[in-house]
Amino acid sequence: MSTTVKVFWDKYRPHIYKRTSIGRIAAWIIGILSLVAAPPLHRATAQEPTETVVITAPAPEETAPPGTTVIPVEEARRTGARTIAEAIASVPGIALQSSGSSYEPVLLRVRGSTSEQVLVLRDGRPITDSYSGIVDLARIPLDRVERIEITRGPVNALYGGGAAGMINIITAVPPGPDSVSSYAPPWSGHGRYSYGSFGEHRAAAGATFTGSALTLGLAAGGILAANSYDYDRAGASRTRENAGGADADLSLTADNHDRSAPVEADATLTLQGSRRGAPGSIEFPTTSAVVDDKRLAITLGAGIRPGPAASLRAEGDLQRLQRRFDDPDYPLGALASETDLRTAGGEMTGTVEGGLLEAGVTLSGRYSVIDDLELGQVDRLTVAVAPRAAVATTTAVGGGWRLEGAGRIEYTDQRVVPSVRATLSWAPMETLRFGLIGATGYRLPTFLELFQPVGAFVVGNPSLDPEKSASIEAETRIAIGAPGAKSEIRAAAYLVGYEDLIQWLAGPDGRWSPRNTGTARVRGLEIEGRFDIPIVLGEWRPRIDGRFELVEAMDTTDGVTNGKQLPYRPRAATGGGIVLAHPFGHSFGLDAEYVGARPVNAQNTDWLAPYLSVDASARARLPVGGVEEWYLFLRVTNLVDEPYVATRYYPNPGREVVAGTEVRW
Amino acid sequence: MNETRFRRGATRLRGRPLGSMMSLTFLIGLAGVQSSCDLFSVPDDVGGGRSIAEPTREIFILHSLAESLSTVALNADDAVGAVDRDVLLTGAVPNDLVRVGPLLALVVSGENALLTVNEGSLRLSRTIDLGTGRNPMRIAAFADATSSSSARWLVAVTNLLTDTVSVVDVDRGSVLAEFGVGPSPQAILALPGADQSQIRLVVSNTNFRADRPSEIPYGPGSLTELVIEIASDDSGSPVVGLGSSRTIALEEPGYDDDSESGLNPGELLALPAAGELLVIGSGVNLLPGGGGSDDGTVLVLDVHTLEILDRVSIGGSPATGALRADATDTTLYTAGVDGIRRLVRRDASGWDSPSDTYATLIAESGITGSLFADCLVVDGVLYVADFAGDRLRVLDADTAAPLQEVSLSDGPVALLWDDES
Repeated sequence: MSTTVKVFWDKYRPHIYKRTSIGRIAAWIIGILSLVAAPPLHRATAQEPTETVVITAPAPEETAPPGTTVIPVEEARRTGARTIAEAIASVPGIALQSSGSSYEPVLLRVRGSTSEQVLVLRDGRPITDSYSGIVDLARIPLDRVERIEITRGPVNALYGGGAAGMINIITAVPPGPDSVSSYAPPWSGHGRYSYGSFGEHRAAAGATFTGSALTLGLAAGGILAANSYDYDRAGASRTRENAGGADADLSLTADNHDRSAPVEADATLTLQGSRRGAPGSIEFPTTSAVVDDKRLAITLGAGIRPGPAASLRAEGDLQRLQRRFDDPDYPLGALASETDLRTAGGEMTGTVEGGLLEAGVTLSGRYSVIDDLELGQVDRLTVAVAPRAAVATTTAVGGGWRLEGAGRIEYTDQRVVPSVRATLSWAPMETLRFGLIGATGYRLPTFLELFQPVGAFVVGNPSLDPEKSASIEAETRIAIGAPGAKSEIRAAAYLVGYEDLIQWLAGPDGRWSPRNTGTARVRGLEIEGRFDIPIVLGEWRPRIDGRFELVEAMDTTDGVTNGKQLPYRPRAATGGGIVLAHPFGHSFGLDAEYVGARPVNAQNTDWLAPYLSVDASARARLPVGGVEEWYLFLRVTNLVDEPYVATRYYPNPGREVVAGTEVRW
Repeated sequence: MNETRFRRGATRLRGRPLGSMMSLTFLIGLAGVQSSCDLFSVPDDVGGGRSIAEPTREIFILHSLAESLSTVALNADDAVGAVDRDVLLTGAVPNDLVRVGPLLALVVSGENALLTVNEGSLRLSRTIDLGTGRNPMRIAAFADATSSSSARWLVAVTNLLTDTVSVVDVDRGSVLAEFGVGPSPQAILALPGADQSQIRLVVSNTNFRADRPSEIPYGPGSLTELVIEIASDDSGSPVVGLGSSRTIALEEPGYDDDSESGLNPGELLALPAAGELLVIGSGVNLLPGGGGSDDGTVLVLDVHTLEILDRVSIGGSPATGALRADATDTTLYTAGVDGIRRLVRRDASGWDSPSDTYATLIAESGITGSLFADCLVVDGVLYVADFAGDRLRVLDADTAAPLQEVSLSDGPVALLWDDES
């Protein structure tokens, strides 16, 4: 269907020309930033050697287990990323499907999965709500995040969710008393402000006090976005309306981070609120629909160490989500919904270590109750026991092998659901590591799928079973150069099978309801490499990365869609980038992503054309006395203004430019 | 030194099954890169036009979920012959099609568009934008009898979300006028007016309301009759104006809007010879335990005055219907959620009592229902579009005996018979 591509290009070509002047402006800004950044670097670096920033990728020995990728958030910040979505966008195996500008929601897929099959955690605790089963990663800022752990393949045995994988957002922990050097001040903090295309303001600030036994933190952030931009529909220019909003969040943390103490404890209180327009699609724009969200989360954790080889940790959390949707001008009658989801969860984990063996068991429980204008009041209790064990050896050359096994038996919705995950890691030498991972998982039906009340066209199905998944993966990681080298190649091949997939089908009564009728098979290949280039450009150090992936996400359900690619899963994607970093903290980045064609329906009769998207970034650290780190940054997304469609009938905003400043002390 | 260690590791790797498997990773990768060029592009195996010569007799089938148009050839014995799948790609949610002279006109709800297609080649002729937020549903075609040219055709399209009807000049690809009708219009019929310059458009208003209780989502159903005046401007282009408009209530006396679902009139059929207009309403469209298959009503109206002559409870929540006329009788077949029902009109005595379910067609698995989206009768053979089962079901129209089942693409929603002979 080369015709489709041609038509697509011709249709949008005038649009590209129209935006060229903005590209020139962006190029000028990058150039000016580079001039500002360059002169003082050598002197500053020489005078402040302790401030040297590590700019390399983690070596294999520093990374998480096979199947897991760790993204140091500092690297993402260097490219101007502000949200989790922007930080993980180029990770192989991860696909983000946007529905407009960077302020608008994105769907997350891991290896051809659905968004509901991916678990999103913050510090190991789920933030995926059981109402919708999804989390919008474009709404989670990178502030106070230290790293992002991405595990592909089922992780239910480890976390109790995630039939396809998980994203674990790890909060940055201020240095505890045991690591505070004698001159470290008790106060630290950060501030950030950015202004971006379409009238988007983002700001965040926080402060942390580190005492002798306690760390206290306070952080706040907010977004105010008009998010109004032009797009093309049927050859005519239109304006995206009702797509803006305001978000605010506040968090308080308390933590005793004395790692040597027999007792540790932490507590976090998070308040979030937002009011956003729900603008609808290109064909059916809605100018009055609004979503109001209020979230409250309290988490408590405590751990004791009876001895050097044993630990016991207990965690608990209370979460509340209140959501209200209103569309008073919906043509077929005003729409309104109200949801109040309250969740209490807790778990206790005991771990012992001895010799080559490490073992532990987790007991967990979670109770959710939802009070919904439509669904009424329904609840769900989940209890689980999850044992795990690992045995490992090391060799004289720095390698070794490690076998980890984890299982989980969960009781929920009157069903017992088992899952397992086994990982074999073998490193014949320090720079070479193989991994073999096998896992089974499941996705619990959402409240909506279970309890959607009798309506004109739909009804829930309380008899739904969980979706089931099983995966096997082989992975190879090679570090290039000397042991401890910072260049790495990772290649992985995988096969995932899904059964009992929940599909909405027309029932005998004429209503659509969810049924466990779907099956799918996903197999693929991921190859990525990150290389520090040993060439001299003054003090600048270049690093390049490349990635390539193939995904065959095949519908194997009986019927006319059997053998078709699942909607919105590209069969191939590739990309690469270069980052030029200075030890003082300046950096330039350029990244390109080429995403193959994706079908938009189950029959594969309509496909979205492949596209190339280029992002550019620049960051300059200002040599300002009295402030530890002060940066100016610029990020340009879709630099060449490619008019690609990510989600059919949702607009492409074109090039987006964000400029901002960030300070840490 | 490091290089040496690396080589040694690689040698050990080859000697072990696990290592051999891992090294395959890279070989697979190379193969993937080799074949990747094709993988990035759109496959070229869909929407390529007719793959067989145009049959003399065929049925066009519109697929709402596959977003395509297919055709099936009819043999001389009316059995289904070759199936030409997904000949034309339509865009999201095509809902209805009609013959317009040498063209087919297709309504594409998700794209707010009207497509015209060359009937012979099934190539797209024109895409006509009806405007955002309209959700066009159904279409009726009529010739412009005032035109000096014999081939000027207009179509009228119901717009579900704007409570309007758009009148479109398919030759010029322009929307001539848009008229207000009742709430949530769906079916539409074009009937001759008082003279050549008039066309009567009869529209069924389903009155679906999202803010009603979900168990009774339809408000009182109605018809809107628009009498449109057609003229030509100086350049010869058609000009359409509204002559008159009126609304006819369809609910029974005593209907309680607060506790009952409306008629949901989804289909209109005309019997010009009998001077009747049939309105088929599915009711709440639900079975017992959640609704009622006893819902389903056929209203018989005087086609000229739109006076309600008869009200027949037929059940089965029919979404559509088809008429078959022979020398003495006319038979109405209605397709709903549980099968086909039949209602016979005797020329001598008028409409009989309805049959019980004439052909029970619930899907064998019992898991999915059989939403019958459309049906038509040709030469004593009944063809039914099974939306949920992705099939064309062929039945003997006299005995209801199943004759054939043909697998189709996803979500067949509308049928159109074409006979070139």
